[in-house]
Amino acid sequence: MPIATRLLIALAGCAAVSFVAEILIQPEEHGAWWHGVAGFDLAIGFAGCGLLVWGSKLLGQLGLQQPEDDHPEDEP
Amino acid sequence: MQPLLHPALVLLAAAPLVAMLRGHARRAVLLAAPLLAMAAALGAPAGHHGVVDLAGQSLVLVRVDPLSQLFGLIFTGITFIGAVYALHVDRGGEQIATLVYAAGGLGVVYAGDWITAFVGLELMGVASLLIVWFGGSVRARMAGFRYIFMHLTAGALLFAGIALLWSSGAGLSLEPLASDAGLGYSLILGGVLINAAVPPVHAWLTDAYPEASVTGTILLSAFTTKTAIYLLIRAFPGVEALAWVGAIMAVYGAVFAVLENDIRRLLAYHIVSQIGYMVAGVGIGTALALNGAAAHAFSHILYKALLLMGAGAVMQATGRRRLTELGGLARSMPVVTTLYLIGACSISGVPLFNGFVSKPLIVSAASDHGLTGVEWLLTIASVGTFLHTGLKLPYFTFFGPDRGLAPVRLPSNMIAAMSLAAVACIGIGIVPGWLYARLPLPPVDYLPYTADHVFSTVQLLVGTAAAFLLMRGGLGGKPTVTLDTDRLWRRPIWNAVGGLARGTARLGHAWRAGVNIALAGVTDVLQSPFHLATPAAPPYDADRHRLPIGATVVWIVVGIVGLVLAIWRQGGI
Repeated sequence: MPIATRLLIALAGCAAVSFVAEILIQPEEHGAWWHGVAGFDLAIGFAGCGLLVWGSKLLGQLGLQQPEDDHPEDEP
Repeated sequence: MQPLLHPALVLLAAAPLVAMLRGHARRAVLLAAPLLAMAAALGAPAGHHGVVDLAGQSLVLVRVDPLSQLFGLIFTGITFIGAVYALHVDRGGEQIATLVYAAGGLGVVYAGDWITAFVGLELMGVASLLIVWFGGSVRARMAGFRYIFMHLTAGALLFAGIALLWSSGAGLSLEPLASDAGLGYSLILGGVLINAAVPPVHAWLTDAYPEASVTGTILLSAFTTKTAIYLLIRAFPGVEALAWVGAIMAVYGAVFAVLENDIRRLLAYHIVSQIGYMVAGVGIGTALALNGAAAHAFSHILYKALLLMGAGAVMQATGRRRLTELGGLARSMPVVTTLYLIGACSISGVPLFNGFVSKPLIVSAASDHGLTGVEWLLTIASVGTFLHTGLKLPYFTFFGPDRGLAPVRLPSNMIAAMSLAAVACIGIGIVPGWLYARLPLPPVDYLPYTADHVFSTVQLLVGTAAAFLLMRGGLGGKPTVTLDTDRLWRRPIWNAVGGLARGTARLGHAWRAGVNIALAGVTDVLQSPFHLATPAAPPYDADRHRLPIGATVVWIVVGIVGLVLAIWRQGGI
C-alpha cells in the first residue's frame, strides 16, 4: 500500500477519534456558536487548505509568479 | 539594591575583543558574552535607571519591568543559540556585527524613552545591513541596499515623529501614545510598522533575510521585527485597526508562501505571517491579547530560529536552497530532519510544542473581544502555517522525490544549537506556566490544555494534512520568482535615487567647470598686469607678456626703496 494512502488512513483515524471525542466531551462555553459544532475545525482545516492553495495559485497565474530569468540578481 | 549592568553593554564590550582575538579565545568570548548578558538581564533590578536630562526632557536609558525582562531574556538567549550555531564561522566582521545588532535590540527593549529606543533601532539598522551583506552574493548586496533604504525611511519617520512629539511638549517616555498626538503619532506608528514588516512595506524582510549568510539569518529573524512588536505593545495597545492589519498580514504571508520555491524565502513569508498574529494581539489590546503578543514573540523567536537553522543546515550541506532542487534528505540528514520537524510542530501549534501555548492566547482574545473576522483570518493563517512549514517544506525537502544529493557533514555546533532551540520549544510547550509567569500583565489564567482546545487543534491539523496529501502533486515548487509589493517601487525609487545622484554629479561638474574658468581668468591677470592693459591682445603668452626676471628684480628694488623713502618722509625712521 503506498505510504500516502497509509497516511490518509491514519489521518482519517485521528479525525474519527477527535470527532467522537468532541461529541462526547462537553465543549467550553465561550466563543461563537460554531465552536460547538462537532468536526467544525476538521472542515475548516480541509477547506481552508484548499482555499489557500487555490487562491494563491490563482494569484500566481495572474502574474505574481514570473520566471527566474526575468529578474536577474543584479537588478535594483 | 543590585547594581545594574546593561545587557547591551556586555555585548558591545565583547565586540572589540572579538576583533582582537582569534581561535578558541574568540569563540570563548562569543559564547560567554551572551551568557553574561543574560545574567545581567536576569539580575537587572526593576525600575528606571540612568535618567538623564536632555534639553528639558528626561531620558530613561534603562527601564526594567516584566515586558523588558521577557524580551531581554529571549534576546540574550537567542544570541547565545546563534553564537553556538555560528561557532565554526571565522568571519570576525560578521560576528562583531551580530553582537552590535543584538546590543541594539537590547538597547531598544530596555529603553524608557523614544530617543534611547531610536538610537538602538539605528544601531540595529546599520549592523543588520552588514549581516545581510555578509551573505556575500550580488543578490545580497543589492538586497542590502533595498533593506537599508527601507530602514532609513522608517528611521526618518520615527525621528520626525519624535521631534514633533518633543516640540508639542508631549513627553517622550515609552508609554501608550495618545491618538490625539496628531502627525507625530502617525509618523511614529508608520516607522514602527515598517520595522514590523507590515504589508505593503514588508518586502524588505522577504527580500533581504533569505540573502544573508546562513548563520546571520538566525539573528535577523529574531530582533528587528520583535523590537517593533515590543514598541507596538508599549505605545499602541488597543489600536483596533492593528487587529485587522495583523490578521490580514497573517493570511498575506501564508498566501505568498504557497508560491515560493526558495526554502528560506518561504520561511521569511511565514515570519510576516506570524508577526501578523502579534500585531493583531496588540490591536485587540486586552490583557490576554497583549500577553499573547508577548508570549508569541517569545515562542516565535525560538521556533523560527530552529526552522531557519534547519534550512541553513540543508543549504550548508547541499549547497541548494530551492524546493525544486531538494528532496529525499531525511535518510542522509535524519537529525536535521527531526529537529526541523520539532520547529515545524511548534510554529504549527501542535500540542506539546510552544506555538500551542502562545498562539491561542491571541486567537481566543479575538474571539472574546467579538472580533469574529479577525479570529477567522487568524485561523485560516494557522492552516497556511501548517501547510507550508509543517507539510510542504519538509515533504519536498526531506521526504519528497530523492534527488540523489550527497550532503556534506555538518559541524556539530550547528546541531547543538538546533537541539538547544528544540529543547526550549518542547519545554515551553510542556510547561507553559514557566512562560505565563513571565508575561507582562499577570495573572494569566489561560489554560491551553483543555480537551476542547486539544481536539479542535488536532482536527484543524488533520484536515489540513488530508487536503495536503490530496493536493501535494500541485504544491511542489516551480522555478519562478514571486512578485511582491516591492516591485511597485523598486524601479521608480532606483531611478529616482540614480537620477538624484546623476543630477548632483552634473551640478558638481558644472560648478567645478565654472570655478575653473573664473580662476583661469584671474590667474591670467595675476600672472601679468599687462593683460589688463591689452584686452584685445591675443591669448596669454608667457614669452610675450611676462616680464624678464631682471626687470622684475629692478621693479622690486625700486618698490622697496620707494617704500623706505615714504616711511622716512613720514618720520618713521
